[in-house]
Amino acid sequence: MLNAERSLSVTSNNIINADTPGYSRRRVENAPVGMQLGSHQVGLGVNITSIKRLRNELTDMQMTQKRQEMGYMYEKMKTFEQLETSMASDSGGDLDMRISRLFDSFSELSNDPQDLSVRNHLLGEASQLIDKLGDISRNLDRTSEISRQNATGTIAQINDLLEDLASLNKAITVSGATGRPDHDSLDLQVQKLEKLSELVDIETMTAENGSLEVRIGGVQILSEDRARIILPDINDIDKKFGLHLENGTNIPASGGKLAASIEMYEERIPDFKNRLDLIAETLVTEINTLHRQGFGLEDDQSRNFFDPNVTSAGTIRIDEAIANNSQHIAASSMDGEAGNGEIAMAIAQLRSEQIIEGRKLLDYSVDLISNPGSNLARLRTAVETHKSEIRMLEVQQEQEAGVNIDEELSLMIRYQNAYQSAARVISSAQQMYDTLISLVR
Amino acid sequence: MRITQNIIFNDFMRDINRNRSQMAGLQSDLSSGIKVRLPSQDPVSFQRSRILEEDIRKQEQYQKNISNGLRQSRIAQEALDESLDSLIEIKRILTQGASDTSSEYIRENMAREVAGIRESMVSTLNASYGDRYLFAGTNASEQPFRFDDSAPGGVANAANDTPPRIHAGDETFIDMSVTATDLRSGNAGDMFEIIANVEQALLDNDTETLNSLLNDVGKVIDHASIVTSKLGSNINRMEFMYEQYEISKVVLRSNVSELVDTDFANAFSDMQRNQVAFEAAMAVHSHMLHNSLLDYL
Repeated sequence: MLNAERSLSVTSNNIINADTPGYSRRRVENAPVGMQLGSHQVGLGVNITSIKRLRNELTDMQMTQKRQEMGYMYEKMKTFEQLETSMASDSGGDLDMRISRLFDSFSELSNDPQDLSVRNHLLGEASQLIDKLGDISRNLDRTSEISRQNATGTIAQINDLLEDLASLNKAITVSGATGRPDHDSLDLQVQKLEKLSELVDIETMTAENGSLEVRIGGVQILSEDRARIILPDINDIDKKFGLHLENGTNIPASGGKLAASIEMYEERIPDFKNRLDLIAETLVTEINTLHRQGFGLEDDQSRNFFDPNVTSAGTIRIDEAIANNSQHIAASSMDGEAGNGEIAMAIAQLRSEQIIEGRKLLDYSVDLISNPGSNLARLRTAVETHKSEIRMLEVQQEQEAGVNIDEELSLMIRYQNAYQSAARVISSAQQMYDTLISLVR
Repeated sequence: MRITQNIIFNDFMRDINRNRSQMAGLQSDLSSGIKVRLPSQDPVSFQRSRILEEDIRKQEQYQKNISNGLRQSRIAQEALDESLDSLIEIKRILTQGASDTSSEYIRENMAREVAGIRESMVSTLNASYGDRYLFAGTNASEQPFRFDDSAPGGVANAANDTPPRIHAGDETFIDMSVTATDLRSGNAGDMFEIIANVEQALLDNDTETLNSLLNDVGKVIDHASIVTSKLGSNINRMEFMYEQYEISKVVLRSNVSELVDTDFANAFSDMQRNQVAFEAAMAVHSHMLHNSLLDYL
């Protein structure tokens, strides 16, 4: 009867934990007990040998790998999404459009070099382009900042998880030593490892006493009940992000959410920024070179169109003399010829010339603004495949470790029956003894 | 195979979510009419469409340049036509004046007539568009023709010899006017000088010179009509290019539309398919949820 009661409690535990993540179903392992009595073998009932936790460790290991890759891609995807929205929109008015509008205005100026409204319009278009460049540049900075914060946040999470795992290690080794494995701690361990593997690529090893050892990039981070704290190492100027232990050992971490944030911070975002700056720089140098050869309406001074001292996307601006007086825009190739639009025409012609890394300025900008999107599209497909792979493994594990409520219910009835039968046996025995005793009386 | 409640539930949620996201995508395709709004939806189409759109914008700008050029050219052409008429009138007067029957008194009158024509020619040829003098070349802020007794023919030339041009296409530039310098200098010499000579000869009552000038005035008319027809052919060229751009824009627009616009028939049938799948999933799941031993205990 006690056996049936105990089994029922395991079943009830299974049922209420059916939806608990990381929970593995348990079974009571029974063994019959008997003894030799003269020439007969007499059964003495049943003993619970152990409560078994059903789980496939191999599937867990495969999952760790997949989750790590998934965490990496997912984080990258999120950052690319931010970048995409900051660079391209469906409402028009993106960088490519602003660049062509500027060239349009120069072309317009070449038709009507004397028209002041055309000149002022040109200045307006130029400042809109500058605003756009600055806007994208600032967005890139912000995304870079977010990536950095994400990376530091991830490290904090890793440290927390490692601490949890260390205390779990302690519980597991203690209970392991007494011969009664702590199933709840083991399930919790699985759950924590799942989370940890999303964050960073880890290697795990289980020692004989059941304690878990974790290595990141070959450096031992967790062993027994001691977790070492990982510290970030940031150089915001060179955009470098490293990890080290308190004692100074560097950790070559890879994979997972952490690696994605670091890759974005160290490589992708600076790369976008460099390309954006190159666009700004090309605009400044190419337009200035032509502009300096021309003359405005008022005097014979040669001027720059953009301020030549600042050439990055975040700082580019129109030369002050021109911003203050649109008459100074040099449309003419000859001094004093008000109707001469040759220089404006030559600048407008730049749009068809391959002036930036052997490509047209506009093709290069379209490439830049759609780059996050094409990365995103690629990642989305990869994430979908990965999702179904993980799903397959999850189903495999679920088949092994998951709780089927119908199964548990039928087990429950079985135990109930066993309990009732056992009780019936007792009452039958009671009756037998009652009969015997009444004979004597 | 053991199938647990979790497997069933998670699979259901996954399918429903996928279905929902497809429906959301289709809804946005259908309501906006645009299939590719962001680069991530189809990077290749996005890039191509943006580059095509740049081509369209460029051609539109060329069209604007051309229509701007056409407006100026047509004014210039009109002025040239008028001047040509004036020159022919001068030739008629000269022919009359050169005949022996014309008396001194008539010739004097004729000279005054020629002077009047000369004056109106100057004002016609100072035609402007906005603040641009059309025959001044690129020196467009100054009147090209000014009366000046010391200049040849009594009319000074402030124009240079570079006609203003428009940017009509990649590496294609079209002159939208002729310069005063070009118009004046024919084979026989300066146009206004010859007109002044005619005037003088009429005043001098010099039959011989008048006769010899007949040939010169003929040459001036020839030159002016050559210049006018040159401008006319430029106008034709601009009109032709404008039409070309119009046609190529239609083609480019339909290319862009093919790349990024929603195929409504397709989207609708996709939506219906999705809806059927969604409803089926809901119906099946609501049945499955009740399949539990629990109800029979």
